Amino acid sequence: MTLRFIRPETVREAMEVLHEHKDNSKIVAGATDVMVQRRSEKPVEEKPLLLVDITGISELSYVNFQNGIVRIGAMITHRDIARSAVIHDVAPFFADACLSVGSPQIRTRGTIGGNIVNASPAADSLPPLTALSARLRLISRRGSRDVALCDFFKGPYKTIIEPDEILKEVYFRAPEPSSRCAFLKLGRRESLAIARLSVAALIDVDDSGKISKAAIAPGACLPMPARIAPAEEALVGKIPDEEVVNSASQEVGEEMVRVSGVRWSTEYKKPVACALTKRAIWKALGVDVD
Amino acid sequence: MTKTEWVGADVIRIDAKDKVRGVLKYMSDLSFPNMIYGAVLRSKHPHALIKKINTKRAKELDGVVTVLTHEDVPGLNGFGIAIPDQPVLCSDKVRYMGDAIALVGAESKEIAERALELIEVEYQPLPVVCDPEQAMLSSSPKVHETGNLHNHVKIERGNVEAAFKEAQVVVENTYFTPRQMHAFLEPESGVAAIDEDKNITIWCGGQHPYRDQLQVARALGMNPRKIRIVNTPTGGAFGGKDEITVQIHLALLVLHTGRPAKIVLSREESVIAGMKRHPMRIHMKTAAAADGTILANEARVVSDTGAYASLGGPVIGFAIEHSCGAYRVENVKLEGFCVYTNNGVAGAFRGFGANQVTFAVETQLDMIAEKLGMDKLEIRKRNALRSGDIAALGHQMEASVGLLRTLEAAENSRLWQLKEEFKAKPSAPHKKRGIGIACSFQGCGLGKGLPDYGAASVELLPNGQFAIGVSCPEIGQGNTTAFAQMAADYIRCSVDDIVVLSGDTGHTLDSGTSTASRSIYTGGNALKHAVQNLHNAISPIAAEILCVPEDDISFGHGKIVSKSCPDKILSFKDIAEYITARGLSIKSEGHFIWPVSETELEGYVGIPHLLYSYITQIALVEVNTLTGETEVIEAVSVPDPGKAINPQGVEGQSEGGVVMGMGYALTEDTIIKEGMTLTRNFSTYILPTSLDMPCKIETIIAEELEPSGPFGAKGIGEAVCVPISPAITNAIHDAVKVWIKQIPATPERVYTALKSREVS
Amino acid sequence: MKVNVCLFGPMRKYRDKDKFQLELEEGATLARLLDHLKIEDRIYIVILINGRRAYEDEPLSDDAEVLIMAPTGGG
Repeated sequence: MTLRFIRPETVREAMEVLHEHKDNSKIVAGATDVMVQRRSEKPVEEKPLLLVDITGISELSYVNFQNGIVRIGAMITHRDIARSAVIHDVAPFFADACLSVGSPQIRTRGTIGGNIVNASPAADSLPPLTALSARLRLISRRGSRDVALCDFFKGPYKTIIEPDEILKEVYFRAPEPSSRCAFLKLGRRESLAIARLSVAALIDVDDSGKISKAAIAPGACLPMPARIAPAEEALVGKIPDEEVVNSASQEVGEEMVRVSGVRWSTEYKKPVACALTKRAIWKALGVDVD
Repeated sequence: MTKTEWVGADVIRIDAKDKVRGVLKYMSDLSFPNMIYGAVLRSKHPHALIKKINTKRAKELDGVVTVLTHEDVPGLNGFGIAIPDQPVLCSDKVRYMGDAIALVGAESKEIAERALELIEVEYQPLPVVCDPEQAMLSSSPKVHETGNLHNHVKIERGNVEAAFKEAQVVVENTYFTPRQMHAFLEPESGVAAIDEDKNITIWCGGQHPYRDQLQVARALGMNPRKIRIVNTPTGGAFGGKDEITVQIHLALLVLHTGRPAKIVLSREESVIAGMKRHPMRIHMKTAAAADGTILANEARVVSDTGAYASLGGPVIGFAIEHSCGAYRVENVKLEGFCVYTNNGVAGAFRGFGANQVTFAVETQLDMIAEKLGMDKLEIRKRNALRSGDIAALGHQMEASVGLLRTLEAAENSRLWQLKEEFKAKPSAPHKKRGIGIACSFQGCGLGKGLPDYGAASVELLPNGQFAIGVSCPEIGQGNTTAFAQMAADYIRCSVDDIVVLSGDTGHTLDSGTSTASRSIYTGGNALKHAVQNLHNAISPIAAEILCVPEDDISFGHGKIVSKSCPDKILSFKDIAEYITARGLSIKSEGHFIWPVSETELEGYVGIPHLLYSYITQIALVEVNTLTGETEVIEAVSVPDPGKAINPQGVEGQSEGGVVMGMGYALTEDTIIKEGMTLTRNFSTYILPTSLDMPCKIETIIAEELEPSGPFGAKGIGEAVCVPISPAITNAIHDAVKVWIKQIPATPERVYTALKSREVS
Repeated sequence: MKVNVCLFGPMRKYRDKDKFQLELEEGATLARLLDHLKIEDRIYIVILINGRRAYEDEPLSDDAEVLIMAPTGGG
């Protein structure tokens, strides 16, 4: 026996199981990554892995919008988000990002919780959530704690989640109704494509035509999700024109090189990251670039 | 020829319903009671000596039934269509990561896989041979004792040097093509069983059951008759199942255990161990006169066949034969090298060497046209082979030659007629559109010196229907439906009254391979002879029943009629009942041997061909100048298949071919570094998906009937995926003025080319 | 009886001519012909008698056309 499988139906039950088996359990939240990883793992006879499938926990499947806060249960699938009226209303770029995940099969199985905890630098849902300054609630038998999404990651595929913890929900304050957003992704094909680059842009423009708020979060070019402060600073307080948008976009390329260093792909990725950011910003500003 | 009822009609595929409903059982779906599961231990090094193999611990594992090594191969420990240089189970050396060293049979797949980890192999790693040019140097380590150059082809005609001097334009470039993966949906897999008399049956995806039978028999040292191979239905092959895959391993398992066995390769294992398209490096120098006439072509082609020969030898020959395109070229100097390395294995793949050289020569042609200010279609018309012309290898085009017909139809297509309008409106200002065109031809059949034969059978069943048998497997291309249509028209019965037996040495005669765009032509011709014999067998019986002379009998529309007395009519059912009642049966055979070219090239087999299918394809692309991405918006595909037995089937082949050639041009490459495969599955090996397909693929069938073909048919399975690749790269040039000399034209490559163009 | 033999490809190495006639005793099988030609690899071989695939143990008839070749493939 190298593998065991359990499918709790309540959060309480799941927390008990994880508490008891914290040294040899793994949460399954859709299995779109876990199953792939398991194929390359060597089974360990002495310590059979316990897979804890939490997709049957209905308490974790919800999208709420109350008091200006959107709360999304961890077991909501990409497909659910892509079809959610609330998300389309308050953060359509998040719906776009989830619609760009893999294929219909993967979107139907894969969950937002799984996508976050798997912590792939190329995860499609993370740039918009980062731009939205989302926060996470983690629960365990020991209690619960909230962390900012950007503090959750330690590196590629590494997070601060403890073995007995479950990601319960991701939540964020709905952007001002006047704000606009865009998500663009560059893959190697139209579907079943892992992002080579992606950009989420969330921008608000005040009555005078100046950018009052900006959040720029690229994907697949940084070890973990982050907003690019220099790019945002280049936008805020300015009336958007070619020069302003260009210089903000340039910052994304610079940041990528600062954080990730120069690699074989940099010669291509840097200018293309700038171009993608530029288009995302213009798209968020309501200028159709495609 | 009398009007056909079924040939030329869009008869629904006879396997469509079962395939669509998921009812059809492929070989990997089959299971038997008491069956064991096989798993193969592959090499840990791309190139190494084997010092020791210890299977003791694996054998001791609970649930393991057998662990086999080279010592357990009773016959020749080798296989290979041309030469048996690939070990069934390696004994002293491994030459690529897919080499098989041991074979486990166990009660479950999981136990078999665990047992693999318990097998201890001691290796002595050797330097890895990864560059075919380097491999040819005498200083290179040897993959095989015989040396790394497996095959060398050299053809010279006329005087290229003189032609280069007098030419108006000379273009000279080096091209690189990728290691494309067949990517059939069903990986290499099958099941086998053995009876008390040690007769072995193997159900396994494949492309030539009778040759599989001989290869298995050779490895087992057995009489071939004791081995039955069933290849139909195969879940996709494209040439990648032409060679032995798991057949011999299955046979060894059942032979040593007496139990049924099953092997299904995982996708990763299939990628590492399976065949690929030969990557080639092509240096080409082409000269043309001021009017666009090609004066000379010089080519040096280096092909990486990987660790074993398989069909690498014939592939380089085929590439050389097709390296001047479907054009008249009087002065040629063509040289091809097929080289062993430790880079996987390469073998047959739809196009068989034409894809690589067509990419080169069709790009050369566009460059020449541009330098001369000529229309891209016009230059192709000017040089197109016509019937009676002498082709590049010095052989005369004796059979039907349809290139001009395809070019004319392509010229009249909406996409070509309105090309400026199509190009004028890209979907965004930073996107540029272009249209490209390319042609090719594709030798059908095995070529000169390789006698190509085929047989078919037809049997009148007791219910008045007919069972026809052709052993060319159904690999998804739809040949069984085409056989049924042709048989129905030959017999003069309804296509619904035909039952097709396919790809089974137990129930069908040897019709040869489902490769080389040959199965329709071969199977059709063999069926034609078989039906003649069938009619000859039925006539006297019908005459006896109707009390008329034998020569008064005619066949028409499901009926047997007296010519002199048309109200004397019999159905085939009447005949069936008549003979069944008398304990008789009617089963006829037909045998066919291919005609071959008169031209013989001393020292070469497989070239030239007599029969070719022709094709012109057009692509409309949109290139994103900010990212280097290329999207194929529309394509036009104009094949000359001879008579289209099933036009819808030809369209299906054409559309599938366009998408396969598009993947080759834009995204697909199996990357191997230092003998290690990096792109191990479909997350990193980028096949086009349905969303990447062009919005529209228009297929215009330009039939140039072939007199020797059944109903005028040739073959079309391969040509459809060939010229679309250079049509796409030529379209990229039309859009953004950069020449693509290395495919796939990935966003990085296009972007880099764009940037260097800006700089210069 | 007389049989007409045709050797193809690698099989040509067994004879200086690729097309010839042979005199064999009545009732001789294909195996007898292969012995006579000293053909070594007797398993991986394709033989057509009058255009029909045949195996070693099959009898030959007078004036039969026998094609002997190595199995192959190609494009």
